[in-house]
Amino acid sequence: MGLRLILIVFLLLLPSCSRGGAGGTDRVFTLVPRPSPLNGRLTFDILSDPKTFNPALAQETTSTQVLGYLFRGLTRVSPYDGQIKPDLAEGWKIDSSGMRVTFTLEKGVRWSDGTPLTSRDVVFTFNRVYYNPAVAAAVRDILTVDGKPFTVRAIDDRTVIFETAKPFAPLLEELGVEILPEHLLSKAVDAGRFNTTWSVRTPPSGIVGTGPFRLKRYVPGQYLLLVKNPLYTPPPGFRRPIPADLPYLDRVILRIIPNQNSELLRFLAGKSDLIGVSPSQVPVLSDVAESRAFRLLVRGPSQTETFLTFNENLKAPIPSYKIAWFRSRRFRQAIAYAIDRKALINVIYNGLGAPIPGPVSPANKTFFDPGVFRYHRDPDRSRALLAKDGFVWKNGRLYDATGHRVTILLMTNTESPERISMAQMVQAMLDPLGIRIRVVPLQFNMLSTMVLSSHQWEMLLFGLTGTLDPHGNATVWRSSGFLHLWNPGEKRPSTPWEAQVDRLFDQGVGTFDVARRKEIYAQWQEIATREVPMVDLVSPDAITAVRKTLGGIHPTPLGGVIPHISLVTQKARLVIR
Amino acid sequence: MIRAVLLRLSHMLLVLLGIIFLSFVMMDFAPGDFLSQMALNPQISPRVIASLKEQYGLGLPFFTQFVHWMRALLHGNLGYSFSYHVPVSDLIAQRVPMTLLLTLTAVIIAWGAALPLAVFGARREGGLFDRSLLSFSYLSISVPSFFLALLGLLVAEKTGWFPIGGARSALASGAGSGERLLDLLRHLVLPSLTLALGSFGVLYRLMRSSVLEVLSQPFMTAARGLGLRERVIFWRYLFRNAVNPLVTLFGMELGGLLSGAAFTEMIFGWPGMGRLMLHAVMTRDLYLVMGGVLMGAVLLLLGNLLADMMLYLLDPRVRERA
Repeated sequence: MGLRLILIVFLLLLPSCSRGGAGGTDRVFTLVPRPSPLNGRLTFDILSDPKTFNPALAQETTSTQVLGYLFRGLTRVSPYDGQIKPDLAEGWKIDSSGMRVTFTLEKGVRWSDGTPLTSRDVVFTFNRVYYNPAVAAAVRDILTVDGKPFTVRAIDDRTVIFETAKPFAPLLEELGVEILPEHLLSKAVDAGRFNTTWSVRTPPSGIVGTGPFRLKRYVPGQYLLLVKNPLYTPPPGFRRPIPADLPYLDRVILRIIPNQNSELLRFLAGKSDLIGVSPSQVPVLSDVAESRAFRLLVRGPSQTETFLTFNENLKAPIPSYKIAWFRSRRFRQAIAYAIDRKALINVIYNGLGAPIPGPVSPANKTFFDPGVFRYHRDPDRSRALLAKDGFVWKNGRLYDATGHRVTILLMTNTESPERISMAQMVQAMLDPLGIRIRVVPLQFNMLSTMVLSSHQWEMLLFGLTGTLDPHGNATVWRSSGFLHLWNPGEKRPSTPWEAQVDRLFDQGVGTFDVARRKEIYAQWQEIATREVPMVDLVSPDAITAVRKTLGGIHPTPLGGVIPHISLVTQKARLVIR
Repeated sequence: MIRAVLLRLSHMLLVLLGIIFLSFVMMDFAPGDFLSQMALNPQISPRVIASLKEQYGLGLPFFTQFVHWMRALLHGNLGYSFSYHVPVSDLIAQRVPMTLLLTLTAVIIAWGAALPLAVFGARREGGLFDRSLLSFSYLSISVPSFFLALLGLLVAEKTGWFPIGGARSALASGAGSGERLLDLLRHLVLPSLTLALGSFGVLYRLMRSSVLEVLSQPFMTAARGLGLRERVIFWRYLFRNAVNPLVTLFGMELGGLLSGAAFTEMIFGWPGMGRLMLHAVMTRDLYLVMGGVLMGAVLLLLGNLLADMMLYLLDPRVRERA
């Protein structure tokens, strides 16, 4: 009886399905060219609500993404090659000591309420907001050298001087942080109300920036509507393909869709113009790309990467013979040689990914050293290295020189299914070597406590957010760094090579000459791949699906498919019949 | 009755206090806090995290935190959300109407369909109609709501009859209020049907068996023997007795009005409480979670009270005992 009913239900559903399944062919997506590509609109979905409209307080990517359209900094990063370009600044001069940089502001920049931007705003932004201990600004750290803030002062309306206690090469990139309007925010700072100012409840017209767009409407849980900022002035030397006011778009609509499946369905139905795609979705999407009028753009390896690391902390509460394995370079190299990166890419990323040889991603065109050593799977090499360290095999099981069976707990965080499958594959790859891995997925907070405070871990599979400037790795690679995962916060470097890396980072941060810096950080990459405290694994390709209606779209290694939001156009209208 | 209600209210206050305290303890026991997510960010130093901790009052001892929050609560202040930097009450007030719109619609659909159909089906027990609906209710109980929701989205995508998620079209704002209402209703159809279908099965089966049981009671035969009119038999004897066990369920359903739709909200992108709370729990936004727990608990307790009061009015045996 029940079966008959299920059948009925299915039959009821079928007609709509077959009609809909034909929807791919039946419902035709056509592009109707617009008379002018200008004044169009761009729609895409974001996963969650922005949490604040205050750039100084924004901490997670949804808020920063939205604010990136509304605010600008003194400098910006070219998405093509990572070079630092002027944004609100017209240009800058670094004096010979490297400790003083003089910025000249671009002429005629105005806030979206019409007030001119002056050096007072810049000084206010740094001295009263970012460096204000009462402000919950998470970016404060990147704006300091050895814990000391920059000295910021204005010379005249358009000139600001930044002084650092030491030469600080990443300064130019860090000064991409948003500049805030003094005339609107100084009262809130004085009254100690800054942390609740420009919240998501502030009327949109009150949020004033210098970016290409203004916030027009925000409906919580639903959407954000951004409209063209008529007072926007593009950065100096900006090449515009069409001679018209920037931004070319009239409106940007960001729908808040908390579920990735719905997001994908919406894109397929033509409700949004672009969507980030994971490698596993590519086969399905490439089948319908033509009929649904979109292109799949593969941008090469993304900044997301995964690595294995080992607990080399002598004080860690784990068996000391295990620490001894992990502290041996040969043991770490043996593991690095045991990993089949191609298999990881094929299984986890559908073949759409790249092996990551060292601590700098190949996506980082400026600092990646193309000559860096690349590990490939070589079990004989692994065995030879282990044998040299006194490891022996009995019945295919690996024992160390003191007779301890090699078993290792491999931890990763439960929030990422990809990391868990990757850990399981690593387990299978180390099994032929006689190494027994047990995979322990832990909740993120638990994992970070174990790694950073109790140090009760053996091997870790994890990923960290990469930065463009290699100095961003100092917190991980300097022996005193708080995220020096394998041996956190060393008083003094516990190995000669760690001392060498420390010296390289000290040199690198003080060198402004890019070619020279490249050499310095290439040496670090060389040491990192020789000593392999972190065995870098693979990175998925960054893929975006883009509706063919849009113009101004170019895949870039660093900035997604939109090199600059103000250059996006809408060439055609999508008509679905 | 009034005395009983007052007594119940005072009990409820104690239960509420217990729920709040336990939730606070559990939030404290779970490893990490709102700032833990930053711990493994290479760009944020432990120094900054420590200073934020102090600002947010997360470094204070557990009991001090609890007392601070309770004191604020007594002044009607639910505290601030860490991630949104706005009062918790504002966030909740923003979301509650949308969730209620969704869940109440679903409740009306489910109850409105299940009760009459169950009475109808039970009276023709074993007929094709009864058996089909019975199988359908099996299906609706056993299919998980998130799957149903995904299926709903698929239907929307394939047919284009309904919007895919969300609660409003971005551009409907320029339109007249009638158009806007229509737009909202169109968005409401799939999520509310999904929710309703889930509880329909339970309600149908419960009501059906209850009606069957009442039908077999001697007093029904007696009523018929006395020659009472069918309408009187139905309302006074059949329905009133049969609906009795469902009243308790109704109370529970009231408690689930705010929190019961979380899955559906997530999948359909409905801007309600469920989504807000899920995010709050995941990011450990302490006071936002507590605000949500408080609202949910109050509603559940009130729902139970209401159900008991309804039973009191419906069932003379309960009145007798009270």
